[in-house]
Amino acid sequence: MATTTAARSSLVDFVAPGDTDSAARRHLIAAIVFLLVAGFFTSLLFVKLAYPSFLGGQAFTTYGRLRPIAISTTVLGFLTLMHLAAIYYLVPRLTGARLWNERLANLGLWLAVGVNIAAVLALAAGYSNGREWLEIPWWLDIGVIAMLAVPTVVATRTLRDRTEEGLFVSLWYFFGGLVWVVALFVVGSIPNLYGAASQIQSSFFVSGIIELWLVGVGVGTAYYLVPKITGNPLYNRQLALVGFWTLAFAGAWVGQRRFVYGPGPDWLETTASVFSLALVVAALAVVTNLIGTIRGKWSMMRDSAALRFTMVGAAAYLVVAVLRALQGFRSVAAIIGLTSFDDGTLMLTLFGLAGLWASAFAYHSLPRLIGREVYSLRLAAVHLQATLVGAGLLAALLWMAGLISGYSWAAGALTGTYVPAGDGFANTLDQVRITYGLSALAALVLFAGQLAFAYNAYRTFTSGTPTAHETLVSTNPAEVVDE
Amino acid sequence: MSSELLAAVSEATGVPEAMVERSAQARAAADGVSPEEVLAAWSGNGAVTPSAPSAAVPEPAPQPVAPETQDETPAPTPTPEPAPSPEPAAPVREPTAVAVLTAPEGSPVLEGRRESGVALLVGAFGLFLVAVFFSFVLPALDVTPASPPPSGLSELGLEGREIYIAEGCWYCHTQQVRPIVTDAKLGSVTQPDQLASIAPDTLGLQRIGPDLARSGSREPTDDAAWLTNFLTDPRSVREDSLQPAYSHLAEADVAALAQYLLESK
Repeated sequence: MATTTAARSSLVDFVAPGDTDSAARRHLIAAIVFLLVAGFFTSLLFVKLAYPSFLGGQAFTTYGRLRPIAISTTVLGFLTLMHLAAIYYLVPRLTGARLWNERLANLGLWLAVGVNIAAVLALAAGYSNGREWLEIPWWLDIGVIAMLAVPTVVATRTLRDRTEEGLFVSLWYFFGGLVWVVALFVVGSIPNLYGAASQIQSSFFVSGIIELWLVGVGVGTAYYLVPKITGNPLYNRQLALVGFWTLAFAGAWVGQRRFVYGPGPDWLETTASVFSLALVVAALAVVTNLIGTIRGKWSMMRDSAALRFTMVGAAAYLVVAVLRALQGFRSVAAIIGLTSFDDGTLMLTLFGLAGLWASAFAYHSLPRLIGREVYSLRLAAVHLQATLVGAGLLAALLWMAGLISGYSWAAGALTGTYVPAGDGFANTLDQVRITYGLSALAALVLFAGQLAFAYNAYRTFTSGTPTAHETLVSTNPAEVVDE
Repeated sequence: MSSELLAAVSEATGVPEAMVERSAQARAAADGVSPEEVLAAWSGNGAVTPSAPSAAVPEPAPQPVAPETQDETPAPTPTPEPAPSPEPAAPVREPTAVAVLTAPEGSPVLEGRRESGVALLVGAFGLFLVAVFFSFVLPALDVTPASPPPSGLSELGLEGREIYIAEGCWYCHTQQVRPIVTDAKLGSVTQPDQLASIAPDTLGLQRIGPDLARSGSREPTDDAAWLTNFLTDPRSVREDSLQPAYSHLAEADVAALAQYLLESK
């Protein structure tokens, strides 16, 4: 009887351990695994874009099926799981409370992994319902909402137990992000919208996920890492307040900037463009604050991979914010609207901005979660360089493709020599073919960097130098051992 | 360091003297004052500085854990044993535990002010609801026609539409004609009240391939045989086409897809 109980409890401990930081550790590992999957599918996606007959004619390798798989594994797999790891790691440290129900958080990871795998299988099998970023069947929508509700409940209950009076900036972004992402999936999953209303729903959902969840939680992480690593206090709290509430106010308004001149209402395109400018203010506030915080300690970037990733991510944040705001101007949209331009910005956002911040968190927390130093700082440098070259080039090439397409379509219409359809379209395509070909190469470079990261993490587990960066000791006087 | 002061602070805070001593030394080093001054400040009633050891806060919660914001012990490793194993061997004993920094970088100042978590959550969610109303509900109602027109698709065409959606054709082909010069030759501008009430939309995201809104009314996509041929083996029609081959689809499915495109006028 006793052994049965023991066996059962050890099984429970294996499935959903209750020890401190176990949820953060497990989410981090799962996120790195999904990064590999995401990197693989993303590079395959761009290879198939340029060379559609690569790998023959299997159904699941067509661009139309690969695209949602690549996006889903990146957004719901890598980035969401790494963000959840950051939340589970930082919320206890910043609130001064133990994580409420570590076991539930660990159970939530199993659900998240299950949902992610089911999503990939469903999409590969061709079960797409045609709604951008929510192509998965409706019953998986519920799974996604559940997998995001778990951390929301756990973190909110932890907040209730806090012993720290203040809420550090990072916590604003974490709790905002958690509330928003659940609500976004609920709004995005409303079924049976059609026509322009369905497009508005999709653009609202997709831009909300990007701005409020993928970027927002990343900002929260960056706000923690820079003061933590440099030892400098946060540069300016008021500026942080401005940045956060601007994002909270404007972040969900900007979807329709992608579909300027589309069938949606003109006024919505205008508000989206104006609020995009507000998001530039939010980005400026964040980046200014990070730069102010690191002042005097720039040289620490040499030794701290996490700091380097954070600051490069901040630079990408500015680029992305400015480009997305430009995209909403009608004169700009007349050229780059409905071209690959937006995909370029999207790739930079996923891998260059949110991806860099997520990786920065991984490099910072890995030694603290497993008690070993990062195996190789050189490999971390390779990861950063490959990501910079890969994601930067990928984005730049897609921007170029967008500009070339946009201008050549317009040129055909203005000169009356060709129509952007049929043979006329094939004619304009000839001019961007080379950029698509090179973008496949850039995606492979990006993937190489991700491989270096995953290998580095694996070696950290197996042969990193033991360290005791941050350990947990009892505050109970009776248990403190005299030195 | 004065042992009486130490004992007094230890008594007042319930923290062992060894830990108080380390904390005081760290705080003194950080502030550039002597440990005695720090201890004096800590022991004085009400003169506890904001950076006093967290345990000085009188038992706020059932499980007080010292947050990083107040962590003041970058002292030599206080763990009974170092933690070489992946699972830190340091005793994480109930009911209380504290994260102790032994990081060489020292403790940063990660401070917030006294703030309400409820206000944060309500504020963030409230602003989101405003956005949902003004940039989703209101415009969606605005563009939804009172009586949407019939789709004009045959049964086979509707079947083809399903395949168009499931296979992700809409990632690279739009079905929207905009009121700008670029789209001038693509047919009449897409108006929201012309869109049929079939969910979801097929308006599309970008044009890696051409717009298909009126594909059935122009060459070469107004020809069923050409479409079938092109969808099954695009590179036999255009040598360097970027169109994926849909040879894996059943013949009937390709026919349905072609029919859908023919009926898109």
